Amino acid sequence: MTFRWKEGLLTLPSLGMLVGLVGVPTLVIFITAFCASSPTGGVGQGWSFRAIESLFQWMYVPIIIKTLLYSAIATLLCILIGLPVAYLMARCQGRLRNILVLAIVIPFWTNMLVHLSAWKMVLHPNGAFGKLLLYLGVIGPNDLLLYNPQAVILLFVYIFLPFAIIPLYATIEKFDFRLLESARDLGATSWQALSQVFLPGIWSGILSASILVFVPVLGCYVVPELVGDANSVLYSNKIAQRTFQDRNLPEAAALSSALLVGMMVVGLGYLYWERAKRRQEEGHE
Amino acid sequence: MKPSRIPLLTTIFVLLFFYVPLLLMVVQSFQCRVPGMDARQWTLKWYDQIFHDPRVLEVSLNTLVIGLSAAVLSTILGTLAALAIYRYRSRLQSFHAGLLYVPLVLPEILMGISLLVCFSALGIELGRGTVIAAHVAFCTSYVAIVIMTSLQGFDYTLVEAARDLGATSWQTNGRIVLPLLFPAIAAGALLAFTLSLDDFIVTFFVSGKGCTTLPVYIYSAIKHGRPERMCAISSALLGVTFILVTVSVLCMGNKVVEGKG
Repeated sequence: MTFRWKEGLLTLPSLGMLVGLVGVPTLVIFITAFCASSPTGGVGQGWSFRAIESLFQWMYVPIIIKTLLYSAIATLLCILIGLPVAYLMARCQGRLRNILVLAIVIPFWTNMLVHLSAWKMVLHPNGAFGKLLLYLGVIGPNDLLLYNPQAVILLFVYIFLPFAIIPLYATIEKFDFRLLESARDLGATSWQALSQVFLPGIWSGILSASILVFVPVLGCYVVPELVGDANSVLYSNKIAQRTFQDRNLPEAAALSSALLVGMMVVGLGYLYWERAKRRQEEGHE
Repeated sequence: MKPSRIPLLTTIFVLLFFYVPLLLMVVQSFQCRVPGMDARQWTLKWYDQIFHDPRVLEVSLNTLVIGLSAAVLSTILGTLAALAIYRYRSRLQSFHAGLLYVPLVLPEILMGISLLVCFSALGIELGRGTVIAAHVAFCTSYVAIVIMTSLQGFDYTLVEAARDLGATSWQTNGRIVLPLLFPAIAAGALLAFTLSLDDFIVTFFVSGKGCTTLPVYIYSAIKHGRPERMCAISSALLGVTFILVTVSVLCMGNKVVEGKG
């Protein structure tokens, strides 16, 4: 039994931490959703369905649609802009490639709040961009560049674009570009080579880039809070609002549980679909 | 085949998109309004202010203490986790590995609120301790993944050779395994430190009133409309990030890129 004992000793510290700080808290979220709220903030005595009932309000329907829409638009833009950049990085050699990698990694590691400060300055009515657009006549003197849905999407793309470029670059780097040449030699147009050889070849990278943008955008309430208006309140803002302003932890927990369940359904559905597809492919062989 | 110009043009556009706002902010942080006129002049006033503000110094020190504690703790836990998952293939380890991946896929806000609810249910006072605990909770996963990646290329015959030659298991770990893993452990520690320094959402949920980190401080500067201060602190933090990232890219090549993705 010494073998088991050693495994336990090696596993215990990290497993204990993970159970205590990740596993149990995630379960506690579900339990808290069924607790009564306390008027002083926090969790009160006894059980209640109030928090769960509060989820079924018409108010949440447009918020959920808007959240999915914003996240999808941001993800799509990140992939569309990220693909050519990642392609160029992968085709560059030597020093130029290293410089490009560094240029993308720096904004990736820069704090989100630093990005937000910079854009707050730039989009400020007296800021550089505002003055330029005013000079060009694109906007009128009373148009605000901040505090609207476009600013929220812009910031989402700005902050999460490196999250898309890096996995795309990692996949494109491994892509065998001779495949494109042979496709062209065999008579494919450049569009056909792109859509039928290149994109399917890097599909896994596109998928992981999409997940790496979509999931954090779902939880990033700071951007709509700082540059959005009343119309760009997203699901995560509601969780933050219930937590910090209403101080109603059970309702915040109920909202979080719903998000968690939604993500789990999508995740498990994807795994199931993947497995079914693999089984089908094996069946064909 | 004529190469398309789209990749080059997009890349130039993206680089301008990334760096022009940051550059404008840095320039602005060195400027102030000339009294009574609509002109600006160069100044170090804002930096002088923030470097002499005891509150800013306290917050910076706090951020550093949290970052270092989180990095040390999560590096130890992450290394142990990676070794356990690598060495044993049991039910326990697949559970262990599964739990290790949770913080990577959980949106930060969910992690923040679940910890907040837990701490308040247990009656734990929010403060530096809870922030460190929360940072360890997500940094450990990143550290473990960096080390597991490096273990994949690990030559296990070296361990067997050491054991055959009569080394005890302590000696094998101390003289063979850890030195070979050292680059990965260092990369993991740096990653953990940067992640901790960088985190806002989880920190904001579990920090309470008493414990402020730099990102939380910038957030309140943005909210309460103190643009000069916000610019100067953000530029300073940008400078630190710039140095940290450049140094780690120079030292470790592409490992840094693969770390967070």
